[in-house]
Amino acid sequence: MSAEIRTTQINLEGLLEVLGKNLYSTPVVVVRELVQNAFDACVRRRIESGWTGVPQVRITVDPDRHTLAIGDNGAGLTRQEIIDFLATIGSGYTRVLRNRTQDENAVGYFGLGFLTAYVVSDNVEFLTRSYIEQADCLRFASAGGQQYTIDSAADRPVGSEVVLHLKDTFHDLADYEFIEQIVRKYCCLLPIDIVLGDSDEPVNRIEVPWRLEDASELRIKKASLEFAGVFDHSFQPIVTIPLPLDEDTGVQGLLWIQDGSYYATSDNRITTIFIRSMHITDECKELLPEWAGFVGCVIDSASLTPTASRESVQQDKYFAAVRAYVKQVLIDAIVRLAVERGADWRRLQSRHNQSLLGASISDPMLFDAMRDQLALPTSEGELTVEEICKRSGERRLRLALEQEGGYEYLIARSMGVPVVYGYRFAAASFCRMRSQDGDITLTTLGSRESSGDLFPNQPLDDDNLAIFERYYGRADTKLVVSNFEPACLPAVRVLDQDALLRKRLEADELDEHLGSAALMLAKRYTDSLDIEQEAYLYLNYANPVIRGFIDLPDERRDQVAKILIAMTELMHGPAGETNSTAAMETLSNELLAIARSVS
Amino acid sequence: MDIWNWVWDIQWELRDSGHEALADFMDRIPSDTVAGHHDRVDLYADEAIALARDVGNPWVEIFLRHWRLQSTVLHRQDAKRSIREAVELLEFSHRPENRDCPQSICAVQDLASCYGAFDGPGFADERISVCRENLERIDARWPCYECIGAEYAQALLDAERFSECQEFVESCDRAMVEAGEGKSTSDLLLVRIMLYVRTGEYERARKYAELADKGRYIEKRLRVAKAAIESADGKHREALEMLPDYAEIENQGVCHYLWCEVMCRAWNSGTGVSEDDIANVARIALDMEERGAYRQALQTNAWLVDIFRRDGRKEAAACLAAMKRVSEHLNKDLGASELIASLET
Repeated sequence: MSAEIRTTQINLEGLLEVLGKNLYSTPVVVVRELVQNAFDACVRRRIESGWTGVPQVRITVDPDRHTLAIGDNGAGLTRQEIIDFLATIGSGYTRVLRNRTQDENAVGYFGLGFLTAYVVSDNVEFLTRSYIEQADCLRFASAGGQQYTIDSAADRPVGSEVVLHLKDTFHDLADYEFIEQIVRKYCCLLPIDIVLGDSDEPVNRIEVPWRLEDASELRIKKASLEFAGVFDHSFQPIVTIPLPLDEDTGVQGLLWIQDGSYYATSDNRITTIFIRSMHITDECKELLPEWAGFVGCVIDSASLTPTASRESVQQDKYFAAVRAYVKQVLIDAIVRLAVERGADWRRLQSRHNQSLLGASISDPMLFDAMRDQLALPTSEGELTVEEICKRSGERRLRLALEQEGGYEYLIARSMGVPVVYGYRFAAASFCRMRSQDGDITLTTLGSRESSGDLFPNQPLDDDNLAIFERYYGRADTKLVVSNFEPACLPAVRVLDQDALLRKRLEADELDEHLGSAALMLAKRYTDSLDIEQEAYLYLNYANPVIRGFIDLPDERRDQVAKILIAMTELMHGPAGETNSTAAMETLSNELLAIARSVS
Repeated sequence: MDIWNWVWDIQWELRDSGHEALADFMDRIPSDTVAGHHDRVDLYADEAIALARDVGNPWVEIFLRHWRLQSTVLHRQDAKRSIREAVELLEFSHRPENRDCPQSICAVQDLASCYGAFDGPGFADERISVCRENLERIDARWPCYECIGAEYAQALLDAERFSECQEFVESCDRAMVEAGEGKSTSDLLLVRIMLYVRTGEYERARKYAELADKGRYIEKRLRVAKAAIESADGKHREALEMLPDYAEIENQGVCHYLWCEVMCRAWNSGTGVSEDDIANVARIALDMEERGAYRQALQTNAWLVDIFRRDGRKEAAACLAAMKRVSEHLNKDLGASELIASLET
């Protein structure tokens, strides 16, 4: 059997119904689509005829007759153009114009916008007078779009007017208040005056900051804040960031920082996308980086491609390019604010420092930019890494993962060394990441490294060391003679955390309530730990009592040692880990002995 | 047993007493964990736990710490980083004042999961014993019954005790039906699917995959499991179509091993796998070693050695070296030395 070439049949009625009813999520887009056609007609007239008149779109409604009319003073259509473009689905003149002139001002794309007229209307009239064939005033009429008539119309100026005889379910559209809302939303960037009824006052006029030429910085700033406020209904914009025209993507717009957020990971991104000045969507958070939960933006772009319904944008390579550009501008602006340290930075930092800490961890680009700008919560207040290093005099971050104080806090404070509160949002993760560069050491309080670092060895000869060992040495405790601040602290006893964990796992009561298999698995871990001693006793050679200890008579040494050991146990032993009663008893007895010896 | 009841109650109490943030954390940490927002969990978990300590509520602390381990161990399989916390939580949650906290049961499972991540087959016996003990403390009315049951079944599967695994999974389903909970649709079902993959019963595996919960909790794991069925059945194109993109599973360590297996098989069959995909497998192999997932790292590197060597690429040597490194950390050899020796020749 030989191949047979046939033509695909089109069920126009069915297609119209599908496109009409399913392409758009809301019938109000009819206003957007027809205003856009009107705007494009004005652009065409300017380009093709050099027309210098003031373009205008006028919308009129008649609630009694249920009509909505959208008129313009654009190019109008000839009879042939009506047939070729208005009455041919998927064929728009704007595309032809754009291809021919490379002019990007017109908005239309698919030649589908006029379809929306049939979605909401029983009858559609199109009255027009072309600038090319000015002798003819024409009237196109169709009920449902499948068939149409073209005949002569009453005299009218150059331009067109679409008159929609609304279906019962869309009578709401014949209402000026409603239409005004729609126009304000969809057409606020469109550089054409849109007027309603007999009024000559445009309803879509808004001061677009990136179009303010030769305006003062202050005026642009004020206009930017106002502009952002129109689009952000949740938070007050506090800082605005211009998004300058990007030659590659044709995108420009405005970013802003919101006043507040519910929590550091809250996602309150606001994005409004316009394509060629026509509103497309408010639902495209992914245009902003995921971490920018406190940022809003409005962009206008010629390179983004709308979906056929023009209610969202295609996530293609242009979208990726715009996204990357927006992110770069945002990061650059935040860094600039941080470096300048002006009022804007203070406002931003006071509200979003935590968010930025978290954000920088998830975005290496932001981290690189902000690593020395963001403040960490510390025992000495909010400080940047450099400020911490300056105060401590070393390239080291000390991180506390517990809220409890303890001897390390005490020592750090006395040395004026800030301790980073690692239990606050993102602080620990930020410190860990910051220390990966190698120029900063991270020490976690409570760790062996931390102790070794806080308590440097005091060089002593063997005889003296032996004396200290005799009085302070214990089988379960490693004695270290050290030299640290504050000098008023004679000794510190530190429990080894690994040893503590092992000891706890060996407690009889745990054995009674935890299955033996689970316990065995847990002990497998603690058995693998390199545990030198259960505790460390650091004697402070900077303290006069310790320094003079060697010179004391034996009896006094014994007394002092007992008192100090008891004191360190009471001071630093966590509840349940030391025998407090015994320590207190020792302390009491020795003090009593001293009192008696003095008296 | 509704192990969440006390959670709802305590949240009300916390809110009433002005501890809104802590109450919010109790919602946020399970929700972010299940949704795969592990980076977020890392950001606030320390803060949440510190608040619980500040309020002086050890049950809330156990709850939060357990959920952090769910994120780091169950989802990310980051055993090396989590083992200490798992041991500490086990001890803390079984102190006299805390042991009635329902999440103390979960703390036992967190520890078993850690060892499962280190070396699933090598620690299979230990995990089986731990889970058996743990299951004796609860019944099928507990929501954690399925979770712990899944760990138990996975250990049986790792030990290649297939018929026992099948019997156990069926007995769990029966018990859950009798308890009015219905048959498993998530964790246990996933083990069941993989059981049938291992025994070559692909139709059966497909049938059970269709019964799975469609929610986000196991969404990615289910997609990977479905891909694994097709892959094992030699349908590599279908497998690749089902397999999530690398970006989707990058922070889901629990999906890594099967993802790599599907990719490597498809590569070997010459089916639509790119250099980038293999680079991602290599990335995952390094990540596995870093996380302490030694058995998985061993096998994944073995696949890579095979692939790189066939293409005459020098990366093969690095992967073989990695195999030797990770094999030192295995609890039992179970063929590791033989595998390395076979690739050295």
